[in-house]
Amino acid sequence: MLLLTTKLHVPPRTRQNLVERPRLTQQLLADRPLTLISAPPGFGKTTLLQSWIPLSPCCVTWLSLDAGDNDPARFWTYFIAALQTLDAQLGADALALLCTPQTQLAPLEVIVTILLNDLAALRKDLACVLDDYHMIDNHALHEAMTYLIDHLPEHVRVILICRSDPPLPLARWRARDQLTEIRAGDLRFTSDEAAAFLTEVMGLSLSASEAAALETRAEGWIAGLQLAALSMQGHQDIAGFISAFTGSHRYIIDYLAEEVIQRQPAPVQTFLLHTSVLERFSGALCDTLLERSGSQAVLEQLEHGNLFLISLDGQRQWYRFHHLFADVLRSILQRDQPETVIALHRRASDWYAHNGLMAEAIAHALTIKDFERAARLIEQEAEPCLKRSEYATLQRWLAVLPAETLHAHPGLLLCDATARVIKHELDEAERALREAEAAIAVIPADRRERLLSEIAAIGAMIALNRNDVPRTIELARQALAHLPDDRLHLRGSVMLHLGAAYDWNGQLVEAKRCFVEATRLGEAAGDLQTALLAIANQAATERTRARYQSAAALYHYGLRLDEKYRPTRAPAAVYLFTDLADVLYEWNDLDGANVHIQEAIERCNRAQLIRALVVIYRQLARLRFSQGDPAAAFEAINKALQLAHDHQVPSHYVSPALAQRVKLLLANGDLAAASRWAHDSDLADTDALITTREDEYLALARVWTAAGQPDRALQLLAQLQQDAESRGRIERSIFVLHLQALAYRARGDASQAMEALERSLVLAEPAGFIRTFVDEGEPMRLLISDFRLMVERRARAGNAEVMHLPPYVDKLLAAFPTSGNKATVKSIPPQGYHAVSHSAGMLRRQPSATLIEPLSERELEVLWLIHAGRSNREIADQLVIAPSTVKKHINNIFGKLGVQSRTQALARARELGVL
Amino acid sequence: MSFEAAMSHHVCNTYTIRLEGCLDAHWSEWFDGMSITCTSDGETILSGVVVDQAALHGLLAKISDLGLPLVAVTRQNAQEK
Repeated sequence: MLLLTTKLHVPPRTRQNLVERPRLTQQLLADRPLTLISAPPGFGKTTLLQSWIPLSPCCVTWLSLDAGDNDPARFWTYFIAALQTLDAQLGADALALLCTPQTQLAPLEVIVTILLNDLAALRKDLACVLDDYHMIDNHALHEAMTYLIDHLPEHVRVILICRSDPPLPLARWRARDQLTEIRAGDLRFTSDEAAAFLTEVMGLSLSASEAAALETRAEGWIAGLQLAALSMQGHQDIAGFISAFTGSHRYIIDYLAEEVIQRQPAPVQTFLLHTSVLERFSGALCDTLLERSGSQAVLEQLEHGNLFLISLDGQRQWYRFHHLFADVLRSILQRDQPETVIALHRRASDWYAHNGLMAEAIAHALTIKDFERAARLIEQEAEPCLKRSEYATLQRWLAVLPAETLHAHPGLLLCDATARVIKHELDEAERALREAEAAIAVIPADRRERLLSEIAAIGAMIALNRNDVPRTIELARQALAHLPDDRLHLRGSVMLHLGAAYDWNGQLVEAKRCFVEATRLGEAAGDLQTALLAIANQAATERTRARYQSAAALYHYGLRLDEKYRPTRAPAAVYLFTDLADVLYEWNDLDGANVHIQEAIERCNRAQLIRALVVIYRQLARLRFSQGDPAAAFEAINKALQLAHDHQVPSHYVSPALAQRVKLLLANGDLAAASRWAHDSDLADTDALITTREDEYLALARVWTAAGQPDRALQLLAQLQQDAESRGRIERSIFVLHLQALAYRARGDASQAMEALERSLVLAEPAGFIRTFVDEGEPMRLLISDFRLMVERRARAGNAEVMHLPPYVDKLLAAFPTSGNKATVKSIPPQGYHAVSHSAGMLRRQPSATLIEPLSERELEVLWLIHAGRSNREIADQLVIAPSTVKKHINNIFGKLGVQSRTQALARARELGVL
Repeated sequence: MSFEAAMSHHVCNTYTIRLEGCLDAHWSEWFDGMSITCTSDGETILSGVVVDQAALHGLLAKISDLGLPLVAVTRQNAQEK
């Protein structure tokens, strides 16, 4: 996005800053999380901070806010940009999340949490200054700020400068001594400071009583004193001026501004009045506005003459007037030349548009209610705005436009609809689409077709979000037939939706074609998120057809793409890691699966992707169980379910986790708990299959087989098998058939069992499935051994049909744990998922029995963090404990492991299997 | 006053705002056309119709931005006039 870097500059010091104010800078050194500098304009708030910065021991970032920053996306983008003036990596993950339009809008708390993690890892003391915080009136942002301030790491503080107290819990922070306040009463010049200012800084020779009279009249208000000094600089009769001024009741700024303005030559007066319509200005902008040249020289002259001109960048490029002075100028201009005001705003709008600063161009057009101009500008800016996730900005603009303007620009209604689809406001999106349709009926035919195709595109997205597959397909095809080829971004997105709809419908070939095309379009448009989602979806269809090798190749391709686009991170990349971990696990590459799961966890934690975490912890549970650690397995699966429960994750993410838990219970010998689940399941007695909960059906069949009801299981499995076959879902068939084999075996029906197993193996062999079979344990091992014998008998009998199977079957049999290995899997008591604490974010195994005194939970956590290369300070931050406590834990760990150093501790922990 | 009653009155409320210090008449436009009168004891009386509460708060913010101490805000509703 086009950032106005002047917003990030600490306003440079000018000579009027030169009064030292130790009584205030001293207060600012206090180390509280929040400092509030709250006073009306002209009290020297910003100036005070400028003189404090060189004295401050910490790094300072600066952000000057304006009304446009009420858009959360824009606010946090600037907030992070300010941090990145310090360290380009700070907030990179949060920024990536902000700039990914296709993910559902992340809650602000998530963005802030990610930022806080980055700040916690920062090795510097930091003060974040937010100037003009009173411009913020978005309640969501105040809440996010409250959260930020409440959770700031010790070495970071926030300084808010505002004209009125912000709606934040100031009383609470005040009571807890977490708030430093500097208010108007503190900021007023004392008589000594006033005298120093008037004589030393402004160079006036005044008697003590004259200085005191001015100070009394201005009541220590710095802007008033400054203006008074400016007025006096040209006066012959200072004593006369002072007595007239102090004797007047007129508003001090009126009195003095008039003095100052009237003493300027006419061209300068015009310059001041006309440029006052601008929030900030450069020489070039002033030239355009005033239709003259040489503005830069005037600006420098004004700055030199101290005419309330504030340099924004210290490079004499961008300036603004002091707010008070600008207000006076504007009110005079409005009174004397109301028509000029409109012409000036129009020229300013043109200049900004011409220079690519669209938000400013639009703001000027809206100020003078030139809606037609505003609409045309918004049309240009809408797509970039959507790309940057600035939905609030877009909707704020659109809300101001009258209905007839919107109808004359149906493209704007479509932007509104798009923003609403992303925010999942489907009814409102639909309404905007209908309005656009009505509006389109009256516009020229050549423009109509393009807009109709966009309406269809957005309609397809709405339909898919409503699970209306046929309508998605219809609309997406319509859109793609008419969308111009250069609309790569939108075409890619529609193609992805169409693919998903086909996939849902079981039209796998069509789905694949769409995903391939969406990948291409996403790459061509530089839209990593669409490209990666398309790749992940394409790989998923490959897996549906049990083509695991091509799925793995796709995942690797996607990960290379992700690598290529660094440091941009698309959240979709997480699914490449998890899905690849799935494939590797199936191939019995447990270490490989582990690596990818860890990478996925790392990324998810950074980006707070809850749904993905549910997937990952399920995978982790399965992995840990296979590695012989049931305790860690149950901990992980409970964590997955707890997350799903806390965040109301949709059922197709939860179902596999529920099923995994049942599988673990059965494998762990806890039939009672598994049966309880089956008994309580709402699926047990329904006839129609709910596709999104397939895994739970498989779990039911497992439980029934184990509980001596194989017939009931077989009935359900037959239904599942028919469904899988009719939709060409080979992977699912393998899952169903191998359970059928086990159910037949449980019923004592050996030949049916062999037949089902054979069908399953024939389908599984090309994909190299291993864990699906091995995870079923001893009954499956026996079944496959029998099958091996049967195949040999058949081969001897001259039946060559299954000759290619034996090597695969041997490989499977070899993968089963030997009886010795099996004994190490100890049973642990079952526990409900609500009983699990989710304080610990990391994975651990139970300490080995060879430790005389086992490591505590906390000590294990500390050990893992040492293993991860963290310093004591970082460990303290992460666990939210004191550094001295960390030392204590480390000493305990050394004691229990009988070692003297971190390196020895890690080595010993590995020996003992603790790490 | 009940909520309904308050709502029925929300249109066309006339407000009088008293400030410390004398404000020049050119500010009238700035304060959405409110009339500006200066009293002999150095106070300004702004008075006029305010469409709604948001507009009132906007006015108060403008006053605060000028650094003028606020003395009083009073409302005359339709019946009292």
